[in-house]
Amino acid sequence: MARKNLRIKKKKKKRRHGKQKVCFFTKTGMIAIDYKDEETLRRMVTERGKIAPRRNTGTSPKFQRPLATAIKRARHLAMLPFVKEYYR
Amino acid sequence: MKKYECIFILRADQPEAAMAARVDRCKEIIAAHGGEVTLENHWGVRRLAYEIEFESRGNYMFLKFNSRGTAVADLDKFLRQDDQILRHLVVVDEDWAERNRASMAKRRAIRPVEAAPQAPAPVPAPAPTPAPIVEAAE
Repeated sequence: MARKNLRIKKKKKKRRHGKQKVCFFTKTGMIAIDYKDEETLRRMVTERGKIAPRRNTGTSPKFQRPLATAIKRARHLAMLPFVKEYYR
Repeated sequence: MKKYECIFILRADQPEAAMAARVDRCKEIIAAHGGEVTLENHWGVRRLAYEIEFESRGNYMFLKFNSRGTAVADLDKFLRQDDQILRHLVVVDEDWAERNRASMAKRRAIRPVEAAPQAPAPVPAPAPTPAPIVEAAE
């Protein structure tokens, strides 16, 4: 009985809020993030054009770092906006 | 010798000859440092994500070249001093596309194998496992 109770407690601790996110790059098998690959970069940016945080996209740290560089390069070349403005 | 990539954006209202002249000049600079252009890809006129010097469209040119590092400084200087060029970028070529293609093909090769038997596998898989248990119980 005691064992059972312990198990239940452990289970409660492990409970997660919401669905666990999976890194897009790990999932697809991408290893290099290209600054010319607009399609991929666009999905890693918020509606406003900011670099999306890892807690939202689930990207692993290994890929988030080069991703930030790639987005910055793409912005410099006007392939991605710095800010997307809705109200002008 | 190292591999590099160069992108520059020319004003969209410039004639094609202007673009050709810039590309030729780039080739000259690279050749002067003992390098060569391996790929010349004209992306054409594209919409810019934001206005640069009151321009909303730009003519993109993409070059790949092998060269010594000394060429980069000269190339950068030339592109920076040109008024008709809105933006430019010279970076080390890390073969992003090729590396991705290889690794993603590998993943795709593994995935279908995993995915395909997974649907039928769980059905036959539990069948053999309970069988030994029954035998053991007997």
